[in-house]
Amino acid sequence: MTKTAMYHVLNTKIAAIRGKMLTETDYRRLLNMTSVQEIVSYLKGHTSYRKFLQTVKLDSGDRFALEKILNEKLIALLTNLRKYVTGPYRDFLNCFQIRYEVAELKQIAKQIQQTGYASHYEKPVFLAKNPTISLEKIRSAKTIRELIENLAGTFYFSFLKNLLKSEQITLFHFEMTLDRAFFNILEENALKLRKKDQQVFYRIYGTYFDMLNIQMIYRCKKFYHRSPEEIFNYSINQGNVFNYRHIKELCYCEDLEQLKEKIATTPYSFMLKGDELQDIYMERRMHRYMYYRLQRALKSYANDISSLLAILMLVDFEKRDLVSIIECVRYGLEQEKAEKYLIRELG
Amino acid sequence: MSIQKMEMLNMVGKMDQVDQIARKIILSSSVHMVNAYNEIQNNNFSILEAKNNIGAVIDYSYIRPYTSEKDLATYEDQLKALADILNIEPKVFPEYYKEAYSFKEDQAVLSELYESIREKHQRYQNLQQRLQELQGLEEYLSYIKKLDFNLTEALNMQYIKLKFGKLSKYNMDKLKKNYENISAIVLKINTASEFDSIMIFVPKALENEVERALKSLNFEEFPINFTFEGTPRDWLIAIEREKRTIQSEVKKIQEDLQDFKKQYETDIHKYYSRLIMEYEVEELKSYIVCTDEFFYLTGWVPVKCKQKLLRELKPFQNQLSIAFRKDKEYEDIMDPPTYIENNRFFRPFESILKTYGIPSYHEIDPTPFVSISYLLLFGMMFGDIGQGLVFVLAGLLLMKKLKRPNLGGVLTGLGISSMIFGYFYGSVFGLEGVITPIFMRPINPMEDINFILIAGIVIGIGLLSVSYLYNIFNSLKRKDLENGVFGSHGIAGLLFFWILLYFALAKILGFATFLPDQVLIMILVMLLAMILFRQPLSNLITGKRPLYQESPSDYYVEESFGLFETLLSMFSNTLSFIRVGAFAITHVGLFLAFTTIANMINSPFAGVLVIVLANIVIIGLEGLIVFIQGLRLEYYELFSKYYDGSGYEFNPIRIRLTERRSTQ
Repeated sequence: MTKTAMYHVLNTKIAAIRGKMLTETDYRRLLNMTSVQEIVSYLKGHTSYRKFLQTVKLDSGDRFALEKILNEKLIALLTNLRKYVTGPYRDFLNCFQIRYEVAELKQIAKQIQQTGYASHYEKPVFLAKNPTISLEKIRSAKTIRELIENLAGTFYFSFLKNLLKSEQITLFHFEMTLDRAFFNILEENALKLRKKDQQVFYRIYGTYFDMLNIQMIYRCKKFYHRSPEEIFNYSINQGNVFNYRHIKELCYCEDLEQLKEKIATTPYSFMLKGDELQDIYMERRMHRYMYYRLQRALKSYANDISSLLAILMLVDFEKRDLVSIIECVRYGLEQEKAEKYLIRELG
Repeated sequence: MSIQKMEMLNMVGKMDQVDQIARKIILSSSVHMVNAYNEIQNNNFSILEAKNNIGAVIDYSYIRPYTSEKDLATYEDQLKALADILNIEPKVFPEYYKEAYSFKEDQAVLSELYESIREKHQRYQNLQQRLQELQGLEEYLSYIKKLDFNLTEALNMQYIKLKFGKLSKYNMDKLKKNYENISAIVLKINTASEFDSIMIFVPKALENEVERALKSLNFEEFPINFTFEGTPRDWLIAIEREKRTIQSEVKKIQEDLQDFKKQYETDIHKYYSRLIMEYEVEELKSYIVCTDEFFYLTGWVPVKCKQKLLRELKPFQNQLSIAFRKDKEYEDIMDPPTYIENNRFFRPFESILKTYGIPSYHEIDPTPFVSISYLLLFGMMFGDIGQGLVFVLAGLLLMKKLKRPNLGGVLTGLGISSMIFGYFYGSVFGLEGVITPIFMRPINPMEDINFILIAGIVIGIGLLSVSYLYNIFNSLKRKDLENGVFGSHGIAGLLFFWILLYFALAKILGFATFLPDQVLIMILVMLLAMILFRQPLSNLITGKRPLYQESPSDYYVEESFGLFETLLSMFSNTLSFIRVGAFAITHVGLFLAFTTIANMINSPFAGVLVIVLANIVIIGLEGLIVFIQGLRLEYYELFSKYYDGSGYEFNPIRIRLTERRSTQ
C-alpha cells in the first residue's frame, strides 16, 4: 500500500469515526439528565455507544463498569485503525495501547497505595488484552514492590526493575517511571515514521509535551517537593516552545511565583492563572487548549497523520467528558458548574 | 451407529472413600457428571426417595456442596520445582494412577524430597548468581583495565564514593544537559547500542541528593559485592581465579543432582501422573454434595458402559448405594447428553456434524447419511482416479503421522469416492481414455452435459427426500405432529414435493398422469392448506389448548410468508443440486484448458510440466471449492430440513492429558 493510499483510507475511516462522535446537542441533553441510568439509556438509544452498552443493564450505576465500557470502545477504535496502517505506522499506533496500559497500571498502583490491595480494581481492559500480563498476578499484589515483581517478564519490567533496588518505592516514582517509559517509546516510534509525519507529530504533540512539562514541574514543586535535578530528569524533550534550556530554567525556579512569571510570557499562561481553582482546572485547561488545535488538525484531512493523531486524542477527550458528565450527574451538580469540568466548550 | 442410550446414575457412598471411588469413576471414563446439588434440590435423587439407606436419608438435611481441602497448588509447585531442578520433563504413565495410592502420603514424601533437594539447589543458584555478578564486574573492569590505580583504595575512600552502573542513551543525554547541577563526577567508560556504562564519584555528604537525581534517570547501579586487592588488572586476575573455584563447586553440585535425578526420575513421573488424576478427582468432586459422613453423586452413564462401571466399583460394593434411572423419567427435566458412536468408517464424519451442532439425544444419528451423501456429492463433482489417490494418501498421512484422525479420515473417504467416480468417468489425473471402465460406458461430463446436470438434480431430489424422511421420523419420535405430519418438512411437505415433481415431469415429458390434473392440483392445494394450518390442526388432534401459541393474526401473517418461503426454497434447494453436475463439468473443463495449453507449447517436456501444474492447481483449488460446495449442500440444503443440532456432547470425566497440558 502506498503511503498516500494509506492516508486516504485512514482519513476516510477517521471521517466516519468523527461523524459518530457525540454532538453538542448530545452533551446538552446528557448534562440535563438526572440519573446515570438515564445517561446509559440515552447513550444506548441515540449514540454510537450502543454497541458497547448492549450488555449493560439499565440499572447499572457502577462507574467502573461504565468506564470499562468506554475503554472498550477505545480498544475497538485502536483495533479498527490498526487494520489500515502498516509497518512503523502500526508500531506507532500500538504505542497508544501502551498509553492506556500505563494508565491502568498507575491506577492499580494508586489503589494498592491507598488500600493495600488491588482486587477491587477489576476492569483493566487494556491490560487484559496484553497476553504477556497476568491479571491474576497483578491483582495479588499487596504493595507496589510486589506489583513490580509480578510484572516480571513483561515489557514494563525493564523500566521498573531499577525501582526495586531502593528501599522504599513510592507511587510518585512508579508513575513517573511509567510515564517516562511511555513517552520514550512514543518518541522512539515516531522517529521511525516518514519525515513529514514526524513533523506533524512534533507539531501536535510538542504543544502537549510543553503543557505536560509545565504541569509536571508545577506539581512536583507544589506537592512533591522534588529537587530541580529530579524534575528536570523527568521532563519530556522536544516541546514546541520549550527547549531543554527553557525547561531547565523552569525547573530551577525558586518558587511557584517565579514559575508563574516565567510561564506568563509563553502561550501557556492560561495554565497558571493564579486563581483558586487552578489546581483543579489545570488539566481541563490543557485539554481544552489541545481540543481546539486538534479540531483544526482533524478537519484538514491532510496527506499525513495529523487527522489520526487528532482523532485518537479527541476520542479520549470524549471519554473523559463522559466520565465527568456521569460524575456531575451523580453528584447532582448544576449544569452550569458541570460544564466547567468538560473539555469541550459548549457554546 | 447410533446415539447411545443413557441412564442417570445416583450414588451414595461413605465420605472417607470418596477419593478412591472418584478415581475408579474417572478410570471408567463413563460418567458425565451432573451437579448433585440441583438434583437433590429438585427431588430427583432416587435413593433418597427409596429410603433404603436410613443413615443417608437422615443426613439429608445437612447436605452441602463439597469444598476441597486438598492443596494441589503447593503440590504442583513443588513437583514443578523438582522437575525443574533435576531437569526432568514430567510424563504421565497410566500405571501410576491406576494403582491404589494415598495422596496424603504422596504429599508428605514429595515435600520431604523437595526440602532435601532444595537446599542443594539454593546453594547452586547462589553460586550461579555469584558467577553472574563476577562476570558483570569483569565487564566493567575490562573497560578500565588500562587505568593504573588501586581500585580497592578507590572503593574504600572516606569522603568519596565510587559507583558503577548503566544509563540509557536518552537519560545520559539528560544528565549531560544538566551536568553542572549534579554534584558528582561522571565518567563514561563504555558505550553500547542502548546503554552507556558509567563510573561516578560522589561526595558522601551529598550522596542522598545525587542518589535521588540518579533514580529519576533510571540509573541501574551495579553493586560490587566483592573485594580484591590492587589495580583493576589485579582484580581481573583474582576474579578469574574466583570464578574457577566457583565453577568447580557448581560442577560438583550438578553431579550430585545428576545422582538425584537417576534415583528419583521415576518418582517424579509417578507423582506427576497422580497429580493429573487428582485434578480430575477434584473436578469430579465439584459436582458432588456431601454431609460429614456421606457423599451424593449424580451423572449420566451410557447403558453399554454400566457393566464396566459396576465392575470398577466392585470393591466398594457393600458400602455404596447405586441406582440407575431410565432416561424416560427425565423427559421433562433435562435431556441426557448425546453420545454418538459410529464405526471406524463413519466416525471422522461426526466432525462435519459437530461443526454444525451436536445432535440432540432424541434424534436419530444422522452421521451415516451425512457421510454417504457427502461422499457421493464429492465424488461426483471431483471424480478422478489419480487425484483421488492423492487425497487418499494425504488423508492417510494426516491420520497416521500428523495425528489428525478426523480430517484425515474424511479426506481418505473423499479420495476413495473420487477414485470410484473417476473410474466411471474414465479419468486418471485428468487424462481420459487411459482406462476404460469394464462394465459401463464411460461418462464424459463434457459430452453429456445435460445428462450430468440432470443426474445432479435427481441425486439432489433423492437426498432431499431422505432428509424429509429423517425429519418425519425424528418428529414422530418426539410425538410432534405439527412438524412431523403437517409441517413443511413433514409428511405433508414431502407429499407436496413429490406430487409437484411428478406433475411437473408429466407436463414436461407429456405423459398422462394417473389422476386427472384437476384432482392433482386439488391435492396440492390441500397439502398447502395443511401446512398453513398445521398448528391449530395438530393441537386439535392432540387436544392441546389454546390452538395458537401466539395471536391467530400473527400466526397467519407469519405462516403465509412461511408458506411462500417453503415453496421458494423447495424450488431453489432442488435446483441447487445442479452444482453437483456443474462442478463435474468444471473439473473436466479446467483440465481441458490446461491440455490445450500443453498442446500449444509444442515441447513434450514443457507439456508434461503443464499437466503436472494443472493437476496441482486442480487438486488444490478445485478440491477446496468442491469440498466447500459439498459442505454447503449438506449444511444448507439438507441439514435445514431435518437437523436441529441442539444437543450437548457426552463428556465423561476422565484423564484428559492434552487439555490439561495446554492450560499449563
